[in-house]
Amino acid sequence: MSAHVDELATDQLHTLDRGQREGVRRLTLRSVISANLIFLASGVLGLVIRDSQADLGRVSSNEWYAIMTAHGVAAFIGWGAFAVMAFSWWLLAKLGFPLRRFGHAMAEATYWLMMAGAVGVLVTTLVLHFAASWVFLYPLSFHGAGEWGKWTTAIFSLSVLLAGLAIVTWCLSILAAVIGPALGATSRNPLNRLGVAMGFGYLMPKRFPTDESKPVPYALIPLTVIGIDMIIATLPLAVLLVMNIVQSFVPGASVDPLLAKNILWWFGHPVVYLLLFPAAALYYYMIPRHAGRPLVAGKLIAVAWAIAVIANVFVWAHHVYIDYPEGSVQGAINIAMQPMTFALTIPSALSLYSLAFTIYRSNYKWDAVGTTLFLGIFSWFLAGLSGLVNATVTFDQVVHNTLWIVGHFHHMALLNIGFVIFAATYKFVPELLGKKLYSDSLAKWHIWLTFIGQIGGSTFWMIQGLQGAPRRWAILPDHYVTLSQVALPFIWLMGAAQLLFLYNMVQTARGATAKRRFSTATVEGIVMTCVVVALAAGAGAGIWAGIGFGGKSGSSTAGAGTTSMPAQLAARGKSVFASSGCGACHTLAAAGAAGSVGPNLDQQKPPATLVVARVTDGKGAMPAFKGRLSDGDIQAVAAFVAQSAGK
Amino acid sequence: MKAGVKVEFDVYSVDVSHGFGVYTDKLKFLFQVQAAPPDPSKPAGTPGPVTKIFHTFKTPGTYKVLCLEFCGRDHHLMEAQFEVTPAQGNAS
Repeated sequence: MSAHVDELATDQLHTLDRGQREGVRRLTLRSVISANLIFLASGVLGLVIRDSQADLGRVSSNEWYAIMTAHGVAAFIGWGAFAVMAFSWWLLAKLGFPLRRFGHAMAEATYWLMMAGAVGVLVTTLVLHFAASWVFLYPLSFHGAGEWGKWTTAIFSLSVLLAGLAIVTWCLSILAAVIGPALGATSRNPLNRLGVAMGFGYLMPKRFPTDESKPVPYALIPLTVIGIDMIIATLPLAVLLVMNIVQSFVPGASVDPLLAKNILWWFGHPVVYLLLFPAAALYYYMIPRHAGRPLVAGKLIAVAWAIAVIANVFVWAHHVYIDYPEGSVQGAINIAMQPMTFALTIPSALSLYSLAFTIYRSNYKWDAVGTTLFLGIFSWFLAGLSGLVNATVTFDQVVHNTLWIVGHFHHMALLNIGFVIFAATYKFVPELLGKKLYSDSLAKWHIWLTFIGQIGGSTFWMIQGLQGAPRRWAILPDHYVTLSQVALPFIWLMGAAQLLFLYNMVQTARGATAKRRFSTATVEGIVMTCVVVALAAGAGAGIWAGIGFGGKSGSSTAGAGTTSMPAQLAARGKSVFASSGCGACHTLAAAGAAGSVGPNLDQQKPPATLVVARVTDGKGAMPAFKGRLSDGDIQAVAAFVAQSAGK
Repeated sequence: MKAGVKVEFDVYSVDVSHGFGVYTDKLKFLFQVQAAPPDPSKPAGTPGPVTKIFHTFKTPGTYKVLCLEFCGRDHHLMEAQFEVTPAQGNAS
């Protein structure tokens, strides 16, 4: 234990030679700035789609799904993963572990692969309309409904592949560093050293001999674990992505969809821990330093991480609990992975226990970093509880693919992982810049407003989810729209708070110093300005889009089976109905049409999907309008018919 | 379909993954299952593997089906409905 106390007192950066120190400083700084800029951009995208869902500033359906795709990949990989990956390099340096030559080359490759991937994803989604969501459930990428083509699918898949390779090169950089000479292992065997880095020396000191004067820092353990797991998790996904690229050009090539789904989640679950485990390492490093005492932990923590390294790659099927087609063993796999998933709560629970008792009755520093870390572990606990709901088959069958899930993972990703990133940004970025943080109180305001905003945002999502509101619906049934609107001020508040973050970091980089601590009045003034600007921007966007709050008129009388359509789409549909001559054959009172050749639409009241299908491909005497009408026109006329038939 | 009689749903897709979520007409969620797509190398329109789910509707009335797996641009337009009639002898 005494060795850990010593380790607390001194930063090991000085043990790195100047070149190594400078190299990792620049690399970390560049990566953290890039990741945080991606965060701000993806945050704006998130605001746009949540506004649209609340009937304020509607975007077209495909655009909504394309933005959702961009927001998901950018926020999760481009910010969450990338930021903790970058801080891990700095953390290792501070623990006295240089990346060394190979590790540095891998880290450099990580940066450029990640940036290329991020640009590719943003271009294919926002410019080329790729909208198969960030899980791109095979074979959805090849069903673009005319919105995107095979080239776009190929470029999107390539972009995700580059980001995937960035994860692999990062793992190699971390593993190269942890087994380096800084590690207190006495064996020269790389596998034995890897075991020591995973904390096995705490459990089996004879098998994994460790120099007593250099005990393994606890923060090293989760980094080593995820460094191993993400290589195992990412390689099959890389193969699937290559197959997607091949299939873009060789139509005969295909993959079994259920296998593809399993491969996706084989990666998709561990990637959550690509965010969480480095975040745990950052907590292990920062919280003891804030509490002024070593981490309250023991050998048990090594047991927890030994469970994690195995369980992490055997829980993917809890994402497909409601898939059990006949003739497959999927149902059995799903059930088997429920206890494995529960086992994974052990590292989290033990970490939370250690961290909480490190803070308990210590002289914990309640500055911005300390507050952020505390709120972060609190959120880890709370979001962990809603995660337990998802992990349980019987509960998942109710909440699966509802907005509950969206509430859960935003809670975990933003208020736990995101808060570690904010804490590390406030703590390390000034240090990386050789400057002082501009304002600690501004940072606290940022953190508290983000916390309140996102607690509200997630809570409303979860309530909507429990009411059955489906996830990933560009336009929700009317039933759910009110709560989407009630949630908006919270989302805007959260968005506006990020302006404080941006301002504080820009001022820090400029070397500005707040002459004195910001007075509460000044900060309140800035905060109020941000809130007003956010409200005005939100409202302005709605008015600009020509929709405003009036778009739902008449929706309360809409018949069963119709969704709330913006007035704009229905109006466009009405004119398409007239100009395409639909009324010559069909009766539809709302269009003043009384044709009698085809079905009477007022009597049939067809759902929009049926209208899209019939108008597109025709049937019997009904001509196909594919090629004569744009997809947008077809969608509009379908919306109009579904909404107005029988009225 | 009649109230009080166990119904078997054979759920599958002919293109991409869909979700089969059944709700009351007041949008109270009842149950869901995934609709598995066919292997894309099969001819268009080939059904994917069937997933069975059973349910006994207690009350007659209109029920809704919402797509609960993201399936592309028109995902939120995928709604359907069906009727459950009163059980024999119970008819008013």
